Order: sequence, then structure tokens, then C-alpha cells
Amino acid sequence: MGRGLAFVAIAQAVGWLALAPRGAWLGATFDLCSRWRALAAAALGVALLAIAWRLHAHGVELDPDAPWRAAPQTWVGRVLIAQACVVAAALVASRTARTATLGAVLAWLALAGTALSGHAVAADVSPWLSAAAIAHVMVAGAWCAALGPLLLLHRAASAGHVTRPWRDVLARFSRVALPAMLAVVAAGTVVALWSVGRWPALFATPYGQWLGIKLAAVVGVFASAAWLRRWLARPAAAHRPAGRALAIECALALAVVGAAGTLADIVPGAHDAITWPDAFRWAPLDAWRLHAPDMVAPLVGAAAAIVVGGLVGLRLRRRHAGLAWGGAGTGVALAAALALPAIAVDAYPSTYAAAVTPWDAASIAAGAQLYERHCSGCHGRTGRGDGAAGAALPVRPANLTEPHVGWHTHGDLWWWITHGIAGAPMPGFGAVTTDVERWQLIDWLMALSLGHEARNLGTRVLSRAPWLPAIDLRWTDAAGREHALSDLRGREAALVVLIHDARELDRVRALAASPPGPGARVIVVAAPPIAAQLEPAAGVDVAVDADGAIAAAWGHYRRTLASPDLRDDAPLVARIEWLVDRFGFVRARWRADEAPVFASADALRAAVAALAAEPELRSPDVHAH
Amino acid sequence: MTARGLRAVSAAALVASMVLAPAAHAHSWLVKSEPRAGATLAQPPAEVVLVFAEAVEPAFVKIAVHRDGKPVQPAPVPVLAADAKSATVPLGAAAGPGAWSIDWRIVARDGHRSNGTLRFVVKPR
Ligand code: HEC
Ligand SMILES: [Cu+2]
Repeated sequence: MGRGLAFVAIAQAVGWLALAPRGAWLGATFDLCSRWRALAAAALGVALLAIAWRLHAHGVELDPDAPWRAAPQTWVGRVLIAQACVVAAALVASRTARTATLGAVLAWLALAGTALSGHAVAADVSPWLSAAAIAHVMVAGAWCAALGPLLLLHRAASAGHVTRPWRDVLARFSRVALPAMLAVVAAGTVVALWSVGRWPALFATPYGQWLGIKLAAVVGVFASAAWLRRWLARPAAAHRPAGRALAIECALALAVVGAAGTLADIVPGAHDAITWPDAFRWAPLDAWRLHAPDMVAPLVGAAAAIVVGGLVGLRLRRRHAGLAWGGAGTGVALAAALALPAIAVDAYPSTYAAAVTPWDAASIAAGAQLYERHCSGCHGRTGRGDGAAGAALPVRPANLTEPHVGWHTHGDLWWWITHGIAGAPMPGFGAVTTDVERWQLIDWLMALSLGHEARNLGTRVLSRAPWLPAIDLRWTDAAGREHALSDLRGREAALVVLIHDARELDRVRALAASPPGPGARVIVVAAPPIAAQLEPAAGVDVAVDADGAIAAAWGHYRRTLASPDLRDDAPLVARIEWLVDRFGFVRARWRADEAPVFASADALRAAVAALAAEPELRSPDVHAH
Repeated sequence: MTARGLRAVSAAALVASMVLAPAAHAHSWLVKSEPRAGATLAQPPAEVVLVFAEAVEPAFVKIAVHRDGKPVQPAPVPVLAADAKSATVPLGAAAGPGAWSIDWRIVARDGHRSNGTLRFVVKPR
């Protein structure tokens, strides 16, 4: 709570100190200036106490036995100490009229400490984000700074202590306040998008809920500001009502600051686990993919309701304004009542849960074994829903190779595998498997589903169209160091070469002699006996696939339109190559039995160079839905 | 409502919003590790690398290493990378077969604390 208090106190001091030298302009009848400086000094004193309190609380979190010694060892601690020093300097400057403006500038700079000790800056993500966070706080602080003094000036004007008409003062403020507020909102939006991360976090995390409270207060601030602007535009008017609107604006500003202080202290939604509160979620795209036929009638009805309501409204607009609004409103309400249930899909507490396993060959291999043990009886050895135990069930086990498996969120799959599917013979496995094992099962299901979609992968790189996530794989080099495909992320592309037949090693030798270019690494995957026949070559890494896990996982990506192998009984392909871009997407594939290699070594190099020039278009997170 | 009433209400709202703020908890979680969580290795690793989502406070990275449930002596001292986002824990002479667990406790740069355990198994083939 120290954060919000320090912010408000410092901002008020900024306002008073900025006002102090303007006594003449305002036509103050006596020396209000020194009174304002005294108010500023008091506010800065409060700020110092609040900062000290925060520093102590921070130190207690670090080391309850020696909080004052622990606190200065951290970034947050040092920011707070620096903030306190600047506030103290502003306090000194507030003592004389000559240095009041300097004090205002110092106090305003001290506001940066509020952002510097927050998530967005400390997280060290990007300088742009830090700049947005700092700008958000400092411009908001400047705006806040004006509110308290304005309120008291209104009083002083009513009492006749200042001669400058209060409307002039307000008009001046209003002219700069609107652009300032818009800047605050723009910078705040950047920071909020980053810290909320994904939209479900807006509803299902405390961070999102506090952000909602803050936004509601911001809307209120804008409403009262708009009211004040209208009041200014009117000719002469009494002071009183404007004063009330200003008081309301101040109260709402305090609410905004309070909510902001809370947001700064809790875990950003992007980092928080999401426990979905409702049994449904609105997701038009998912709903369309899962039950498009059921959606047509309600959506057509909703559109009709809007059209009819709109027409009624238009027709009655002149004669019965009330009826017109009623008609249009009824249309919208009816449309919502029809459309909202139609675009809803089932949801569970774990719908947005994050996977605990990496998307890699080992996890998929573990999932395959678990599947064999727990699921194949019903869903069949190859996942086609044709297991012997499933034949007699009232609801046939799902065909897990169909694309719809990938359309559910992984958290949905987790829920079903853990608790079973309500109203269907699909049992839950929460009691007989661990959390990690269920995520491994999901990794296997994703490999199965993506493997069937991999049929669409071609032999040419389609520019700017990444969609198939590469499966991470690991290997140990001759010096005993461990490497992973994901280590290349952001740096190099990779040509993954899976070899099942030693005769194909010539292709590897050709690649070693004529490498695909500086921007790509060749990674050969082979079982130990084949790998042993390969002489070490510069630019070629060999992943010895002792347990066959890599071949099994990447083998899902063998399917082509020409050889879909839907019965899973085709013989192993002697060699398959996949080109993986530097962001971890599989972009093209060549099979020894179809189009054996890229047209030429030069063409491969050109493709690698083209990939190197591509920006990151999306991040290859299979687990993010 | 009078201006005074408004002021009282807003002050109360400010205080309430600050008091109601839930306690800060962890979010600089482990994004990656070497060996990775749950791995079974044939050879003991010389060191364990923990990679965090955000920069952490160097002075407050606390690590406890256990092998088969017993604390490893002398306690390994973690070394932080220059960007403060990863810590290397040398296992040194203690490296060997068994069930390993690395308890880590950190303070993220924004002041939030976090902790967890990385487990892996070393089983010579
Ligand atoms: C007793 C037979 C049985 C067993 C064992 C079984 N399932 Fe199912 N499963 C079903 C049935 C039946 C359905 C279809 C339910 C429906 O359509 O409402 C189903 C549906 C599913 C779905 C939903 C697919 C979708 O896209 O709608 C998933 C995922 C799934 N099962 C995974 C598994 C996994 C993983 C295992 C093993 C851990 C497993 N099942 C074991 C019977 C079984
Ligand atoms: Cu489905």
C-alpha cells in the first residue's frame, strides 16, 4: 500500500510546487505561495514515510532478521532508496520560493521510481515496455498533480482569495489534460497487454479483475472530465456544480491510483495460473469448428433480430423516440440471447492450464507408452477409436487422429483425461497417473493429431507460413556437451535428417561437403549402429537415438498426401529430411521414396537464406491454444 | 454527496483497495533446466543449470541440493549468469548416481519471491 500512498503524496507535492510561483498570475490576494509550499513539504514528508515503509516491508520479505541490511541489495531496494533521496532533495527545494519549480521537477522525477520498481521495468523484457511503463506513471502523475491544487483553488476562488476567474484556471488545465490522459491510456494499454498476456487472464485472474476495476474508474474519470468540458463551453455558470464534478474526478483518480497500486503488487495475469471460473467460454472460432451446424440457426436468428430491431427503431425514430429505443434495444437483447449461447463452448477449471512438459521427443515417447497401457484398449493401437474394449460401448471412443482433438484446448484434454468425460464412457485417469504423465499423454495426442495434419507439408518452403511446430530433440556432442534443437531458437535454422538405412549416409556426406549455408545446422538422427558408421564431419551434429524416441516422435511428421499411411503399416522410410526455421517451425520435408532431396544444394541454400530473412511471425508453442 | 463526504469515501476506497491486495506470490518461475525436470541420465551431470523467466536478485538465489534425500556436502554454491536469468550449480565431486533434487528459492527483480524443486535421476546403464 506504500506505493499508492507515495505516488499520491509525491504527485500532490508536484502540483503545489508548480503552482507556488504562479501566485501573481492567479491574482492571489495574500501570500498563498508559502502556504502551498508548506502543503508540498507536508506531502513530501508523507511520501518519505511511505517509501521507508515500503523499503522495510521489502526487507522483511527478503530477510526478517535484518530487513534494513537486506533491502539495499536488490534492484527494488535501490530504486526505493534513490526515490527517497530525490524526494528529500525536493523537500529541501520546497523551502524557498526561488527553488519551488526545481522542487516540482525533482518530485516529478521521483515518480519514475514507482514504475522502476514495478513488474514491467524490473522484468527486463524490452526497453520499449519499460519506456511505456515509465511514461504511463509519470504522465499520470503530472495529471494527478493538478487535481488536488485545482480543487483547493476552486475553494480559494469562491472565498475571493484569488482574483483570476476560476474558469480560466480550469480551461488551462483542461487544454493539456485531455492529450495527457490519452497518452496515459495509450502507454497503459501497452503495459496492460503485456502484463495480462492472454485475454482469459482478464477474467480469471485477480490481476485481470483489478484491471477491470481500474478501467471502470478510468471511464468514470473520463466521464467527469467530459462533463467539466461541457460546463466550460457553456457561457457563465455557477461555480458549485463544477466543483462537485471536480471532486468526483479526484475521488475516481484516487480509486485509479489505488487499483494501480494493487496491480503493481500482485502477479501479472500473464504469469498467473488461470483457473477458469465458468462452465463455458465464448470462443466463436472454436465453437464454429466444433459444432458449426448447430450455430447456423441461432446466428441467422440473431442477425434477423438486429435487422428487425434496427428497422423498427429507424421507423419510429421521429414519432416515438422511446419506442424506437425500446425496439432497437429489444432487437439487440434478443440477438445476444440467441448468439451468445451459440458461440459458447464447454469449459473447465483447467481449460487454460499450462503444460508442465516440454514439447519434445522424450515427452511424446513417454506419452506413447502411457497410451499403450491406459487408452489403446478403447481408442485403438493407432488412436482411430477402434479398440476392442470400445466396440461395445454406447458411445464409440473418439477417433484421436481427427483434427478436432487439436481444436480443444490442452487444458480441456487434461480435464477429460483426469476426470473423464461427463455423460460418456470415457473414464478419468487422475487416480492412476501423475500430473506430468497426463501432460505427456497430451503431448502424444498432439503429435498424433499434428502428424495427420503434416500430410499438408510440402517440399517447397512457403514463405511466411509457419504452422507445424518442430519437436524438440537432444543430443550429446563428441566432447560430451548436451545440445537441444531449441537451443538454436532465434539463431539458426536446422535440417533434421532422420536415417533408417545406412545406405542413406551418403546423403549426409554430401551435406557435409556442401552444407546448407551458414544459417542452418545439419542434425542427423540415427540409431546407434547406423550412427556408428558416420565419420565425424564439421557442421553435422549426430543425435544418437538410443531408445528410438526421436525417430518415433518425428516419425509422426512422415505422413504426406502421397503416402498418408493411414493404417500405420507402411515400412520405415529410409531417410526423411525436415527443414526447421530458426523459430522452431517445420517448413518443408523430403522423403527418400518421394522427392528425395531438395532440387539442388543451391536451392536449399537459397531457401535457408530466405528463412533467415523472415521475421518471427508467431511463436511455436504447441501448448498455447 | 458533499465534497467532504466524497473525500471520506475516496480515502476509504484507497485504503481498502490497498489492504485487500492479495499477498504477492511467485512468478519468476523456472522456464528451463539442464538436465530437464524428470530426466533420467546415464551419466551424472557436472553441473545443473536453472533458467528463469525473468532476471533474479543475485544476493537471494538460495539452492539446496539433495541426493537420495540427503543434503549434498559441501553445499554447492550457485553461479549467476551475467544477465541474472540463469544460475549454474556445480555438483563437483558429489556427482553420482541416485535421485537428485535441487530446491531453488529466488527473488525476482521486481521483488516477488518464488521457489520450486527440480528433480532428475542418474542411473548408469
Ligand atoms: C473405456 C474406454 C475408454 C478408455 C480406456 C479411454 N477412453 Fe477416451 N474416450 C472414450 C469414449 C467413449 C470417448 C468419446 C466421448 C464422447 O464422444 O463424448 C472418449 C473421448 C476421448 C477424448 C475426446 C476427444 C475429442 O476430441 O472429443 C480424448 C482426448 C480421449 N478420449 C483421450 C483418452 C486417453 C488419453 C485415454 C487414456 C489415458 C483414454 N481416452 C482412455 C473411451 C475411452
Ligand atoms: Cu473433440
